Amino acid sequence: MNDEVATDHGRPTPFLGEEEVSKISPLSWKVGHGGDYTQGKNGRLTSHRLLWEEEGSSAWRCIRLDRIRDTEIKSSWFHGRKVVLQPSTPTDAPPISLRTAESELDALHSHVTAALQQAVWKVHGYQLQSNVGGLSRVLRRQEGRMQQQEETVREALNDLQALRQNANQMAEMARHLSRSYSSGNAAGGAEQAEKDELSQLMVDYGLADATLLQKASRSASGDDYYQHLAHDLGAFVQRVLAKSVTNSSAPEASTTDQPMSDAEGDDAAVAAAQNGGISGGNGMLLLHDLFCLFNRWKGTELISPEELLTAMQMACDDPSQGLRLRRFANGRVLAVHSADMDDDRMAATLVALIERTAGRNGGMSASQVAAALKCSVSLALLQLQAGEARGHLVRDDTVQGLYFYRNFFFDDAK
Amino acid sequence: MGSWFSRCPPAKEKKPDRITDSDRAVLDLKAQRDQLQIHKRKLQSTISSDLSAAKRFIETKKKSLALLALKKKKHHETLIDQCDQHLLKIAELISNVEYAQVQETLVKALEVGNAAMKKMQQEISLDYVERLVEESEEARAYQQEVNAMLFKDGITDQDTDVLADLRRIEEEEAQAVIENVPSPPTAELPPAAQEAVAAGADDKAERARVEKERAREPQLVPA
Amino acid sequence: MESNQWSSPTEFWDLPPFFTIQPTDATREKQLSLWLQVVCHYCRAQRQYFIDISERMADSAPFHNAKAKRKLTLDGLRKICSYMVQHGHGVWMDEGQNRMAVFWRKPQEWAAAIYRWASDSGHLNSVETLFSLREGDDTRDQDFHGLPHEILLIALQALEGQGKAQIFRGSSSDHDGVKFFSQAA
Repeated sequence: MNDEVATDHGRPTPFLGEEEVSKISPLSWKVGHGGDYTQGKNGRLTSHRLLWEEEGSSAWRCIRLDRIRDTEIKSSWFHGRKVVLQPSTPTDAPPISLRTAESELDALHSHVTAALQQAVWKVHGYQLQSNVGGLSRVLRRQEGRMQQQEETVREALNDLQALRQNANQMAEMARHLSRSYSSGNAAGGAEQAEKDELSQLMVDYGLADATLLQKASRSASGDDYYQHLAHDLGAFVQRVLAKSVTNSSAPEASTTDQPMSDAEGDDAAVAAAQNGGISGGNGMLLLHDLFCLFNRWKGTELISPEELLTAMQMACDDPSQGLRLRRFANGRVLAVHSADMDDDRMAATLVALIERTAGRNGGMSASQVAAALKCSVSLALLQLQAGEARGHLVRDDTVQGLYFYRNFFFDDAK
Repeated sequence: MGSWFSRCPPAKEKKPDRITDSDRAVLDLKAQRDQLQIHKRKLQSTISSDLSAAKRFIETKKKSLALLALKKKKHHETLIDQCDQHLLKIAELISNVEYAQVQETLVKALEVGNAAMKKMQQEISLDYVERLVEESEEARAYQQEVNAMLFKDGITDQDTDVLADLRRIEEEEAQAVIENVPSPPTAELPPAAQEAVAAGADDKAERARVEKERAREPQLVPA
Repeated sequence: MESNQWSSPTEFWDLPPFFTIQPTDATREKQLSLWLQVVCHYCRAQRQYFIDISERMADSAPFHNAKAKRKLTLDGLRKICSYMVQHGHGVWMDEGQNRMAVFWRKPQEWAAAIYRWASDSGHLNSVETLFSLREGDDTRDQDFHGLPHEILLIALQALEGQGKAQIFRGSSSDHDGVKFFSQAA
């Protein structure tokens, strides 16, 4: 019943696909109903078998789980509880009793039951692994784990995909709603009151913007749409930039104190955005910041980055807008600024800021500049780097961070 | 260091070697002198360490060791003396060699001058000189002959007519000069003018006095 | 270390950005030229003739400014040395460029000073050992007294290039000697 086990350097050679389930110690066993228990050491349960090393000799013995039909816990008067394994063939084969520490017994039983149910041996059978050392087993285990992780990630991605589809549908619905409302608006009539109510609801729930709803009616499709968007965008950018210039020239004046009067309350949105920490610093606005600001201002009629880029390019091609699109030195970041702004003027403002804040020979980091200009750190850094490239600023690269100073190297030349 | 040499090959190859054997000899001598200098410095530093060791031993009451250290110092001092002797000898030798070098060039210069003179003398032979003298004598005689021929019936200094003419012209010139001198005034001077003349005389006397004083105190006169 | 006795010729030495090699070309060029002045000034004051590209070097004046709490990186040190070599104020002593001889005077200037001394002290047309030029009593009050062998050799090679001297070896010893000539060959 219990077989001699093939060993490899004193360790039992594993079967293909065999995994260790638990350790059992102490372990004693006997076959049949009478007789004494024999002690075993290093007992362990794997997915394929139960095995142990015989006391006194270094031979390993095992019971293959495929030959076990059933397992149960029995208790006897004298010896306490034991796990009994019932062999499947032949039917009248004597049962095998196992003893271990009382506290471990339930665990052993449940492990054996689980292993019997999983029947891992059915995959590869009892085939000895040839030449398998510890390392390849580790690798194999690692591979299995990675497969599992991949599975998890794929599931997560699928979830995300579904979520995005839902969001798309939601945006589509919002767009459709506002459009149908607009067309209905043009028709006019008795349902006007109802429509007004609907629009009011949409505004209340943040699904639409009051001013936009009136404008949106005319945005039919294609070029028309982009031209309209470009116009809106241009006006929006100019308002933000105008704000930022007043900000940077008078940093102590709080934006909330400024009167919000004209421009259909748009300034309020801009001011709110700036209080949120993002604004055009130093007469310049990063396109990805603009994307956030504009979409926040628009409410429901969200635009995609591609739409923003196309519209922004159109706005900048239009000389009446007085805006410029600029690609920063690293080529990845786009920013928009007013046409009368150039690198030298920008750098001069930065130098003035640094001298005012940190003293004539003091330095500031990008985050300090960003805080002073109320703009994003990345914009501040880009502007500082541009100023450096033009020779207006110099850097101090330390473990504490990157600081920028007025370019004093040419002091003696002047 | 090797890299420097390989990168910048010195200009030695293309230039002629201007180093003579005696230059090398002098260099060797000077190198020996440098070695002696180094040795001397080493001895001097050991002396100071000997001295400090001796002081330390005296402080710790180890008299015999202190004596030993002082003996060592004495020994080193004699060595330094020897060094100095050698240095002196070598310096003497170096200056002798250098002086010999100078003499050598002097001798060479003399030799060259001598040779040049000889060569020139060879070129100018005595016959040639004699002939030259003869020729110049002949030329002189010829010149005298020419002179004699010219003065035979030409103009001579003793021509009386010419001399009379000259005297007449000179007299006329002298007469013209005398006539041109203005005649002195005949009228009396007015009184004011007379005073002025007298003052002028006083002035002259005053100036003479000052002059005299100046001469007496020459140190006051700026140079 | 000796920085308390030495004061920089430029006030920029006390400003932190001086210790970051600037990325902008024109600025860096100017900065490196200022560094060249600082290094030459320091080495002249301290009679220092070599600069090693090492942490120990970067930790000491003039590459470390305790007051500004800034020091150069090894890379920065290397850039400055390369600049000095480019502009004739230094030469690498090894293939790996880890040690540079500083010319706070250019070799031609050293050569001129040595030749002036030779002609003033009557050493023209005579032989002198390199050791006595560096360490001898005759040159004690000269600026080139104490010049390391390598730099002296470079200076004399410059003189040799002008035909005003010749470096040679003695017949028995392997000491270098030099003979000054009154006129170029």
